[in-house]
Amino acid sequence: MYDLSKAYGLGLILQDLSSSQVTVKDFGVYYLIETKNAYNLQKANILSGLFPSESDKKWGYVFLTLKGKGRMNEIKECKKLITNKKMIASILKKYENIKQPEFFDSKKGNKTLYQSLDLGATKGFREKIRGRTYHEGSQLYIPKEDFLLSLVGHLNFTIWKWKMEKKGGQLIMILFNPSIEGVRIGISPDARDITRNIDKLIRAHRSGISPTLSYVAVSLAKEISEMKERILKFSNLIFGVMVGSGQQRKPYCGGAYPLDFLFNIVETSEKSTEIFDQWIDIFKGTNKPGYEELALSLSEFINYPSRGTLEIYFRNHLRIYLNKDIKPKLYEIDIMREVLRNV
Amino acid sequence: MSEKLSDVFLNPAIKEFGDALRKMIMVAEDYGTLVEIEYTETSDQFKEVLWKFLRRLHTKKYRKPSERDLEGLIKLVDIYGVKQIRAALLAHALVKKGGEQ
Repeated sequence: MYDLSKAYGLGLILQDLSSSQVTVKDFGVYYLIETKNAYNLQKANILSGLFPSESDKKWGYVFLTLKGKGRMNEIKECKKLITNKKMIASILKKYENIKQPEFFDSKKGNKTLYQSLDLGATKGFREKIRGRTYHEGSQLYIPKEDFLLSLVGHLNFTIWKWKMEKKGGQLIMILFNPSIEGVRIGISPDARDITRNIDKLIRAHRSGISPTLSYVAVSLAKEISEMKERILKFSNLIFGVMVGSGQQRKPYCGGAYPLDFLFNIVETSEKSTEIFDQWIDIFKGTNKPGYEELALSLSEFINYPSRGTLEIYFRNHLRIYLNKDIKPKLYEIDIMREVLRNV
Repeated sequence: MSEKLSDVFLNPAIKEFGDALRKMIMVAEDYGTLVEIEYTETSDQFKEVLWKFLRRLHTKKYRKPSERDLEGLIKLVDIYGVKQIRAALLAHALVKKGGEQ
């Protein structure tokens, strides 16, 4: 998550400074960010537009573990740094070539890597334990440049969804990971527009993390299927979930959610938008008590498409259709045929 | 034998039985076949459920699929296995017919 947010952050900064289209590609061990024009550092003052206003709730997500004055001070410092020419020049110089991520166990000149930027941050900096007393490890610190990049990336590209529960609830963070062919930033519709659209449209699903991820994945596939040209190529969703525990948030789970099945439908089916509309309708309609099983089984099918999971989903759809007053939509015959063709 | 589920779905015998199953579930609200079909693993078990299903159709005075469709469906079960046929029949039951939402 942290690496991907840095890649998007660097992409946005380059796009603003070069006023040209930027491409972000995932090459497995590194992200490649390409721009057509050279960047102009004199335009650094326009980078303030990459951060939302201080009252925006997104700041609350990235600085989830900070409260009150501490959070406000951090926001003010970040807003200063983003227009600091020296800082931006240092970032751009640092990433002219492939660079390994840097982590430190000392705060001197560095910034804290918060768990809201990457769940792995909670593991801390571990030391060899032979001959020493074991301890839980110290806080992870990262260079200021990387911290700033990650913030820009998260604030512009991460979807945060609260799944509220009686005690605490879960905070789901989702980033769209580009494929090796990449996604563009700069010419609408770009990766940021798509993220914003989906963020506005969906809510966390009451049935759990998996249906929420499937809901987001299907919404993304629908946005892509509606494009005349497939200019944005994503490979998967990178997600992390935090859970409330007393006064703290603790890491719950994380990973990559595959998009191959959905993008295969986009590429091979003329009815892809209709299929995704049908599934989005089901996720929307089942976000209430008593309908959880249908959302879970559809999500299971989308995540692990097989005849077995499809049949379980069909049975649940039929049962809910028969037993509930608010009935999930039935399929048009040609849409059903297209669904079956992809299993 | 592996065959695209969409091809099995389009087979006329599957379509006839699927439509009958759909009518039984949606119109007559008879869930018996839906429950029974879920537990069929072998082709013999499937044929037994099919037999009961035909009797239910007869009792409700619904139009039964023809002998040819019945033979066709049994052949398909032997070729493709129970799971595939079961999924194709359920898919037909979920298809919208005129006037439904």
